[in-house]
Amino acid sequence: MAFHSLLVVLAVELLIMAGSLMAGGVIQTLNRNSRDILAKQVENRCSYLTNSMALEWSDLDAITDKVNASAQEYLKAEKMAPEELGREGGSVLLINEVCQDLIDTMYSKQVSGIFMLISTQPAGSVETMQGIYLRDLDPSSMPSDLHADILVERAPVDVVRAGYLATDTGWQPVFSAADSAEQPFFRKPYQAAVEGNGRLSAEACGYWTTETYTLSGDNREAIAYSRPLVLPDGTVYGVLGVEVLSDYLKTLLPGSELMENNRGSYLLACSTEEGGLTPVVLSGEVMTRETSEELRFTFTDQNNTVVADEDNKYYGAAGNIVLYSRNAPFDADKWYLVGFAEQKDLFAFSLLMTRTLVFSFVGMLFIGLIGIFLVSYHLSKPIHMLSDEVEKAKQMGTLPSLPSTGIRELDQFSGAMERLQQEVTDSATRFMQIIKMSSVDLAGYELKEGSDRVYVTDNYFPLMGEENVDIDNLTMDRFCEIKMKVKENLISRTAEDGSTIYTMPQEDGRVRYLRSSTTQDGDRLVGLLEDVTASMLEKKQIERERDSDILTKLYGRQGFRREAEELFAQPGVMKHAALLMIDLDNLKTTNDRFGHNFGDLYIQTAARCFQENTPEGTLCARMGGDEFLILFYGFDDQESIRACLDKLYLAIGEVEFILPDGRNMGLSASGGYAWYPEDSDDLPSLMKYSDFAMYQVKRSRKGRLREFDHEAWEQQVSEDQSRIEFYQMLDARKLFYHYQPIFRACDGEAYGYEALMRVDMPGLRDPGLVLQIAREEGLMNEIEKLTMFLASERYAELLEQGAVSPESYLFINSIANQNMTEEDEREYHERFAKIQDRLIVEITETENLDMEMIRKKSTAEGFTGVFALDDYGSGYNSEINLLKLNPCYVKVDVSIVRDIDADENKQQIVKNIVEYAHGRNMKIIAEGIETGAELKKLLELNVDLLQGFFLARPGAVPPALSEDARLLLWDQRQGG
Amino acid sequence: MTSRRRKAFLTVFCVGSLSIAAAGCGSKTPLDPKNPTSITVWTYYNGDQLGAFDSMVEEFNETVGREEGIVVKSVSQGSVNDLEANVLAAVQGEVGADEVPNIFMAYADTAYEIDQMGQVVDLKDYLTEEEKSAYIDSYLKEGDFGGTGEIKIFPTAKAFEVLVLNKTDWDVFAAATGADYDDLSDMEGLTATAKRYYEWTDAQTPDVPNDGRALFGRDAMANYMLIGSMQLGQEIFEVSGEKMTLHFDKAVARRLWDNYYIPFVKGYFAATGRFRSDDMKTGNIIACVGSSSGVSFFPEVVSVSDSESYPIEMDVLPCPKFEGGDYAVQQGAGMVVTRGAEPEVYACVEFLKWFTADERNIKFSADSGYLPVTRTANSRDAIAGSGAQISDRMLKTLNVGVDTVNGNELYTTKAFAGGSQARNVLEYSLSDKAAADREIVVGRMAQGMSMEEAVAEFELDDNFDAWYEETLRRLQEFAQ
Repeated sequence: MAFHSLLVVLAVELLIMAGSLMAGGVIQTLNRNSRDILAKQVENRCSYLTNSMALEWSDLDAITDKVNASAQEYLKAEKMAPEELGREGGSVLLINEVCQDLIDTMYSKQVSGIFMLISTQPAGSVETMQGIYLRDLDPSSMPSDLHADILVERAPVDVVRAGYLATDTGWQPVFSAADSAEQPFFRKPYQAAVEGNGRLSAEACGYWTTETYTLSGDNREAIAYSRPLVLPDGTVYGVLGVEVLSDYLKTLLPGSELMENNRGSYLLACSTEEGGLTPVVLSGEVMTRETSEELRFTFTDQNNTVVADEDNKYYGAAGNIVLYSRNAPFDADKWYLVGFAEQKDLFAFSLLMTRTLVFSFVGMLFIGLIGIFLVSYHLSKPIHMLSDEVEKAKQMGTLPSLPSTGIRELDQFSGAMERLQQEVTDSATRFMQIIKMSSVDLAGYELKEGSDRVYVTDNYFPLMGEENVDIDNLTMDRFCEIKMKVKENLISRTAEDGSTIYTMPQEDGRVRYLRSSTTQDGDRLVGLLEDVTASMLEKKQIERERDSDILTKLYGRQGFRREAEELFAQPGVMKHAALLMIDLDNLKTTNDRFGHNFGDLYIQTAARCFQENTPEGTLCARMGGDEFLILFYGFDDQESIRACLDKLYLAIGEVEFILPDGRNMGLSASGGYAWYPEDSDDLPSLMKYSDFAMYQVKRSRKGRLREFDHEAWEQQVSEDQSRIEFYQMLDARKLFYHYQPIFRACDGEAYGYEALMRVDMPGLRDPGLVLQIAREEGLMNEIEKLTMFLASERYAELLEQGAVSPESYLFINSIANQNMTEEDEREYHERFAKIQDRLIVEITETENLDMEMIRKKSTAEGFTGVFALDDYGSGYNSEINLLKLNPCYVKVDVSIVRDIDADENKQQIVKNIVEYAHGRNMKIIAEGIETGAELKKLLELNVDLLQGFFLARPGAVPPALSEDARLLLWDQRQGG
Repeated sequence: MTSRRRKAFLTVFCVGSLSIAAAGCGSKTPLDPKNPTSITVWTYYNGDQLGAFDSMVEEFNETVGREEGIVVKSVSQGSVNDLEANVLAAVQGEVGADEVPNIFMAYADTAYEIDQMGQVVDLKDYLTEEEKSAYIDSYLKEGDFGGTGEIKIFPTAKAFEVLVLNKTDWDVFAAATGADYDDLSDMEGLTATAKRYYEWTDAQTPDVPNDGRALFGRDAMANYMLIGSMQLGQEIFEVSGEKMTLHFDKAVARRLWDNYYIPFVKGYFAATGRFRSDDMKTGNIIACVGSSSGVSFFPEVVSVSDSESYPIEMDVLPCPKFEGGDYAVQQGAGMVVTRGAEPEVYACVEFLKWFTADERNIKFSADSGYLPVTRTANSRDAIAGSGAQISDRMLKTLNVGVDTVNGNELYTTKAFAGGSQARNVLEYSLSDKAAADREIVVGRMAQGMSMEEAVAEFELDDNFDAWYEETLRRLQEFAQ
């Protein structure tokens, strides 16, 4: 993998390198730069040389003018014909005269030589020629004193004898034909001038020799520029020119400036008719003169700026040197300065670059491949070796012994791994050792997501009580299966820290506690199972001590609850059980009478009694004060428990201790018990039931133990329900009223209506119960108020609807000893003023009629003060009440009316009260009339007003008089 | 990288470094062939001498120079005077001047002058005693300015004075008059022979009076004065340390006067051309004393007129002397090495030692007319046996030179402040006066005076006294 990646990286690198070079055209650019630099150098040098040759050296105007003038004067002075100048000795004086001017010109133009040849004969016809040829050997230096640097090559003897010029070795007094007439520097300009026949200026006839020449007797090569000397009459009498030694010219053309290490050459060349270049002067070291003459240089471009030989060995940059004016006789001679370099030198840099690049390319490739190979080999080999070792060790189940790889970093790493592994193993072993040595059994397992292997410690399943599990080939599914099975059979609860505590009964009856906790770590689930029996027991002991009652050493409330809950969680342990709640009688009085110390002793004695007289293991607890709880459990049936209860009861009865005042006192306790599981199988219920049973005892006859009575409980519960609903009713004012008409006996007309309370709650429908509860709850005044307001409200509605006559009276049952507050009374008056004057308040007979209350009722605002005494004759102090109240109406109780037709006593009582009432302007109302016979009799007894089902039932809208009663009344009246 | 591999790498690195270091230490030279040290030599050589010198330089560069890492560049300044001026300009750092060359040719005077500026290297320590002993003592002493054995001028080639004779014309004269080479061996004899020659030539054309021709002319008049004085027993410029004591004795001066000025104004001696070689070429004179280095300039043809010329044979004779002392002039500049980096000085000495090794020194001598500078090379046998291609004329010259060196005490003035100018006084005071007075004589004779009449005035003692006093006065300016 690494090998491939490295290869790709290498390939990309090399491709980028190659691509950038190719695309960038670096090599071409380098070559072009090299050519440009060469061309520029040549251009500069060419411009310099052109300046020297064309402007400086060729400018012979001044000297030719001077010579011409001298010649004219000379001819004039000597009275010579121009032709005579060319005669032997004919111009020695002239030469002598202009000699200094020539020297000056030579110095000023910094040329290596100057010459003047005199001839008036056509070229080729002379053997010798007069003239002077001077050389300055160091033209670039300052002129030396006394012309020390000048050598005479040609000059007449007289000039030499004059003594100011030194002769050169090859000095000759005259020019031989070879040095004059045959030399182009003479011949060419001379002929041009002659042929020009005066039409061409001397300057136009100026000529640069296209080949180097030497003078006879001398071996120094030179080129020259020469002009014809022409007299005003057109006589061409000679040539004057300047010479530039090739050696001197070479110093002006430093080939070294073209290339490093003198690998450049300048070639001053002239173009030939064939288009090639004829070398004139060559400087520099790239090629020899011979080479330059052998090679055929041609221009390779149209602008004549690039020169090459046939083999392309050399590259030349050419610059044109313009020496002649257009159409001048020698204009055809084209001069060039060519800067040469061998192509391999010129492009050396790019060649070097190319070679270097190719080398580095190949080198990089090679080194890269080697490197990749080495790295891959040397890195992967040891890693393979290591992993093989590890694999082997894994298979053998031993610790891998990692061999040295020779790579220090890897060795360090594997060494560190080995050490780490060793340390891990050591610490694991140590840990296991510690665990084994510890008093706690510890086991664990590890599950890994995606792996079917389960790691389980050897003792895991044994600890769970599951032997013979093959843990070596345990799969995940199998593990879970076994675990679930085991769990099902174990009692478990969750501890505060989230772990699960398993309770495991042992064969010897003891209990083993196991704590199981799990940790999720990434995709690993690690489970730990710990035998916490010892700590649990210890904890329990501590708890027990903490939870036990100091006074009695029994469990306290907490302890009991905890212990009991634990037992309740184990039905197998509980089997049949009973929870007994005991309350010591007379503790309060004992405390009050004999002090708390004695009270405590009393409690301690009782506790000891309970403990001693119950089977071992029975859970006894003091719940606080004089209340104890005793849980009998583990019995096979109720009878066995009953026996225990009886035994306890008897034992309680036998306990006696001497009071501080010397009297003997027996222990007295009231208790109630409930059955497990018959009454309930949960602790709170059983506690409630036993408590209920105990209170029943306490409410009745103390000092007994009583079994829980489920019916009594139900009733109690029901009452409790009614009471709840009573309050709901009150809150919602959910009392409503039916009205039962009260008829006049005389004509059967409705005299008034009695508002009868109705209640419609799910568990509370009996108005009597409402009153009872109200009474018990001390809320009679609420009922009084509700009755007054609600009955009146509804009655007002009935009035409105025309269901009752406005003349009728409204009878409302008021509770005798209850009054509305003044505020309520005021409100009532405000709301029901219209009804209030037709309101008759029925006072039910009670034991003691509170007259103060009655008085208050009667003085309520707007109240007419008319009372009716209800339930007369029902048993209480009716007569006294009658006297006290002095009501306007007396209602004979239904118990008197019932079957009055057949009971003379009742008839007598009614007779008496009628008599009594009528005598005092009171009216008698008979209520509860249910039969015609009763009605008939009552009519006979002359009661005033009638009420009862026979006449009309109560209703939300009061019904009319029943047909039977109407007929009977009718009959009676007819009869009476 | 494993430690083993790292070690291998280090080893290679160390070995490489050591080998480089060893290469550096192994060679005793401060030179590096791969990075050659370039040195520049300024000469005043011209013509054949320059060619000879340049070819030697080329040979050096291609052989020893390449091996050792030295590149010598030869630059000719054209003339002694130009060389001196340019060296001074360079040393003084004048605007436009060239860089100071590593080696320049100089006479003692110039070398002394530059040395005074602290620019000259003492080469004493660059030569072993053995090497030093190979050179002719006086040559080395020329550069011992302080007299402490220092070598501030390295002798490369020495010129000497010879008498060059147009044997063709001489033989005619000799045959007619019985004159002989011995007549030319001492100054008085030469003067007398010249008189005879003048008279003999004058007699050739009886109808033309006073057309006698001069036999002799000479260049380097200072040499005549200095060597002549030495031969006559007096050192004009006696230099001790930096102090010059003038000894311009009137009697000695008179003999110098009588043997140059008098024959000159009378036309027995002549100097019309730029150099006497020019006079020889135009047939003005047939014998002259000049530097051996000028022999090559002597012609094989004499052009007496533009149309009249004839070939001649040349002979070389020892320089005539005054009878008395065997002194010969030691001339020809030596090489002065200027201060520079150690490799440059070292390279200079290497080049000079190479250049003065016998064989090459003889070869250069043969080409240029100089004499070798070592004892061993200064013998006819050594020169003949050198295998160098030597022209007949040059062989004659060298043989004369060897005899001159071996048969005389070589003398050259020691350097002193103003030495050049003092020398110039000697160079021109007598010759200029002679040339000027000769003009007058020629003029007078042209007006019809006899030669005796024309020269009478100049032969007077007063004439000499005046010149002597004037010259003495001028020379005394340089004495301390």
